[in-house]
Amino acid sequence: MWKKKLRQKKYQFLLIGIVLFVTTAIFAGCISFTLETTRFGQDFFKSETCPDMIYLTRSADSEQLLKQTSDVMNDVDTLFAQSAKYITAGMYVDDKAINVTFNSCMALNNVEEIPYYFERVKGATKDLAPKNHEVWISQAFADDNNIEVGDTIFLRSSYECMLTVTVLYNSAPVPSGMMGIFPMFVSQETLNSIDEPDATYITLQFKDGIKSIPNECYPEEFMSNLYYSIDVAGINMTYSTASMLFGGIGTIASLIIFLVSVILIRFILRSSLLREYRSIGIYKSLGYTSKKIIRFYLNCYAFVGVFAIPLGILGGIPLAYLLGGITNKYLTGYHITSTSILAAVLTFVILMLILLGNVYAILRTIPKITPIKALSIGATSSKEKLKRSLIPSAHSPFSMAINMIWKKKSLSVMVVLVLSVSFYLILLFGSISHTCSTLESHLDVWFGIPRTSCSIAADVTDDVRSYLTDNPYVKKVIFGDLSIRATTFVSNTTGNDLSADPIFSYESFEDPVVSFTYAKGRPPKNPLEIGITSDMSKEIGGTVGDYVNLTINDYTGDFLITGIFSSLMQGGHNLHILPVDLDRCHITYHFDNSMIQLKEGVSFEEFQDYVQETKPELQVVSYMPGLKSAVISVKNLSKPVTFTLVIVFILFSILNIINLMMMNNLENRKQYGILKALGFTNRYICAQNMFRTLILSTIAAIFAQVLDLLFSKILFANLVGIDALICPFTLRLGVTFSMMVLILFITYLFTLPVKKISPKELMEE
Amino acid sequence: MKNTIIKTEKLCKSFIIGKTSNTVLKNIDLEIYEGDFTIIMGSSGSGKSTLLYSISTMDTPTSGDVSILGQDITHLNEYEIAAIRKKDISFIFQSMNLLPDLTVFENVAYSGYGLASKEQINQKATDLLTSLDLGDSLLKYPSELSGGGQQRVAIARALISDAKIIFGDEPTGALNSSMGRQVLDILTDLNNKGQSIVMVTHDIKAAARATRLLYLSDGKIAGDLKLGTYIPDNRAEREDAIFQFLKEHNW
Repeated sequence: MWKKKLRQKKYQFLLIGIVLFVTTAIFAGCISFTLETTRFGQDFFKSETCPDMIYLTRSADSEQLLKQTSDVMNDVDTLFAQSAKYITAGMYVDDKAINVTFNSCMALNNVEEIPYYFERVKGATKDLAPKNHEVWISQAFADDNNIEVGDTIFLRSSYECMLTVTVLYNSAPVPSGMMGIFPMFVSQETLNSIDEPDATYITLQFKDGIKSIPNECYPEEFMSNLYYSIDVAGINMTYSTASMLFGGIGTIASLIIFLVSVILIRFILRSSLLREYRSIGIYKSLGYTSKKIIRFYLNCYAFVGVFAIPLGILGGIPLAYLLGGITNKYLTGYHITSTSILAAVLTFVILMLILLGNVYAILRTIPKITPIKALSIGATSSKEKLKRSLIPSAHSPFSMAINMIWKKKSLSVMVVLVLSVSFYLILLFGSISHTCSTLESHLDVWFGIPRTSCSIAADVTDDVRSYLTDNPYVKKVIFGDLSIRATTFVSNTTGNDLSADPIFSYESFEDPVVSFTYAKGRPPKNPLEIGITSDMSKEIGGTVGDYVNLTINDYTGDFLITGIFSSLMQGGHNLHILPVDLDRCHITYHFDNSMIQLKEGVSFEEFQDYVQETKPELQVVSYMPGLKSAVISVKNLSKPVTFTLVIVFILFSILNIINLMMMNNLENRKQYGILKALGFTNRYICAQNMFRTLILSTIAAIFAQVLDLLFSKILFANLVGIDALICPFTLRLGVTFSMMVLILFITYLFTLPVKKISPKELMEE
Repeated sequence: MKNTIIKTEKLCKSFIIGKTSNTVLKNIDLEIYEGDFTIIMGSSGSGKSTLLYSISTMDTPTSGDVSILGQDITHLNEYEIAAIRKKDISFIFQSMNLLPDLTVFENVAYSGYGLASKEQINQKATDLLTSLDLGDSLLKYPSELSGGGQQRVAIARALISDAKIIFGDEPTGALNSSMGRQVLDILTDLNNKGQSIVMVTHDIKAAARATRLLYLSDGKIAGDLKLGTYIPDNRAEREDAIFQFLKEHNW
């Protein structure tokens, strides 16, 4: 019998099945992706596949220095050092300049000596080392700059060096393009021919149980000669930021739409029972028990769920692979393990329980239906609750639409709920997509650097200073040092210690033209004031107005936190500090970054050409080279993911609207027949439906905007750690308008069949 | 000489059930006259409701021509047909088919809006309902009334537009004898005042109110009985005459 019922209502159950399939697929896919990447991150970055610390030092003796330091070596399991060169020359591929921060070349004699994960993925994958004038580069770097095996990289400065790309590699220190640091590997002979400062590239793997070695254990000579240092937490963060964002938001969003779908199913079932009230009474009068009747309905929904939910779980696998393939592209690849299988089983059990539990909750009213009650419902009476018209003597389609919305409140609320959630999720993911794709316009928010038109990375000599300050194209320039390396600890009164690396210093943090974006408070402007990142604020429990104890090298003192900014740079543990305080701490620093705001009407290209002509040794970039990879990486990751999720949520909206339209048409079929019999035209009936949809969509759009304004920024900030979500007015308007047009179009399509059907057929039940 | 208000020529109506086609009305030529209370009778499945729907714009004939008040409805567009349904004809259904979300008053007035000013229609609706003993039920919903009450609302709705023809598909079918009689009295009264009515029924007592009786058999008009104006005192004789007529046609 229940199979017959399924057949009779096949389209409705098919739609319910598709909705369950879609929502389950996203939920299962996102859960699997989140679990697998979390598990992968925990396993990969805690094992010997990844170094615990990476240093690039200015000295060729750094390796010896470390080996002689027992405080360090006692805790180190493996030390791997390569001679290197710090590259200051311009780098070009096909005459196109490629800007890289902390560019370096390492000598690689045998790839099998590398103690961490290192895989040759393209090119001469069987070679054990690069030959002379060959270079191995990371695949992340190659993708960001459209470099392929066989291309030639030119280093040009006072010397010229030509290197042929023969291998693209993946390695643990470069888990994503967001890393920003991409070591290049050459032969020893090639390295010797590069006329650049000597350096040493050192990776350390600690012994089991050792999480970190305090900076004070390292020799001062070692620490003061660092180009950069990265710990495993920083490396992990560049990998996990994306997975946290998309996995986290995707999972939350899919759970919301699954729950909305279940609410919709409840509503459809409740309406169904109301319509079938009399039939239920007839069944009971013929001897059917309530239990049997309940089981009959449960079987229908169980049947749909048993097919749709497992298919959805299977459908989630490609989604998980899509997301995982993007996040794990530069590591060992994405694989599904028993974690996902367990998650799949649990997902099936939980979602089926939610579905059947809710269906059963509605069906519990069946035992209360007596045959006499049910049989008295028919042509002359109804179980429906009756409401007064909001607009008396209504006649026009618009006023009748308002009355219909008022009288069928539960259906109206359901439509508004479904549409609000759909609008909101599309707006949320549209905003995330927009935020990520316009990252370079908001680097101040993401990385704690000032808002500028462009920058120049070069030592700020008196000549450079006067050239830029007196430049006819420049409105304002401030100078800073973004790579001050010092042993820095921040601690609060509870004793929580946190190292900050690097620390940034600018001549002024308060310039109104070249300004900084702070989430709370203000940048430092007086001595003994600092700005810290939001991550640091959370970890040490300090906020604006608090004093913290700052140790920089040998100096210790209390500093006032004046403001909190966001930064993804190097693990998100950075400081803003004034030069006067660096002097206090006896820190050696030199300004090597000029942050420039151009005059109105001057374009970046114009200024770039002017500098090229007048001071060719200075290279103007639209934003700092070290951030370029992060920007490209975020864009490459966010585009396919947000696009997929937006399409899915649009599909979810369409399916639910279709479901509601079908139910609406079924319920109102007779009414349409009566209206036609009374002389109302198809256009009138269509207009009534369209007005009803328009009003409900408008209410839903307003709710969605309110939800977005209240929650989206907070949700994004909590998941990513940066309050950077942007939703421009044009995007809001575009999403809202497009969705409303789509929904009105669907409504119109569903009213079309009424045209051709005669009043008699419509009134037949 | 009475005016023809409805005329059919070779009217056919077929239904497709599965793979088979079932022709219910077979080349019916028919004229219905102004001022008549025309009743269509026939055995179950003879096509009487089908005929009623086909000549009232409620259903589309498969072939043939149908004219209402001189207009060939088989060649009219959607708006022209809607105009006929709005102004020229009214329909009373067996299951009343009132709009459940509208009150009694709204059900009647809603059908009339657009034909005169709102105030006039509102007043007319109130007057009609009061004349049908529904003055106290204006704000009630159809489901709060008895079957007879609902059918009286349907009659009021049919009268709001001053339609030239009222169609009825077994309007007393869902009512008990007392309520049915009430409805028939109202319809007879309207007909005595000149209202043209076309009705389908299987009840001889209802048929006795007719001025003309058409018998449908096997999709064709098998018999046509003229009865003259109904007088309550002649009810028994009329019923006997109808009974004989039906017997001759093997009803």
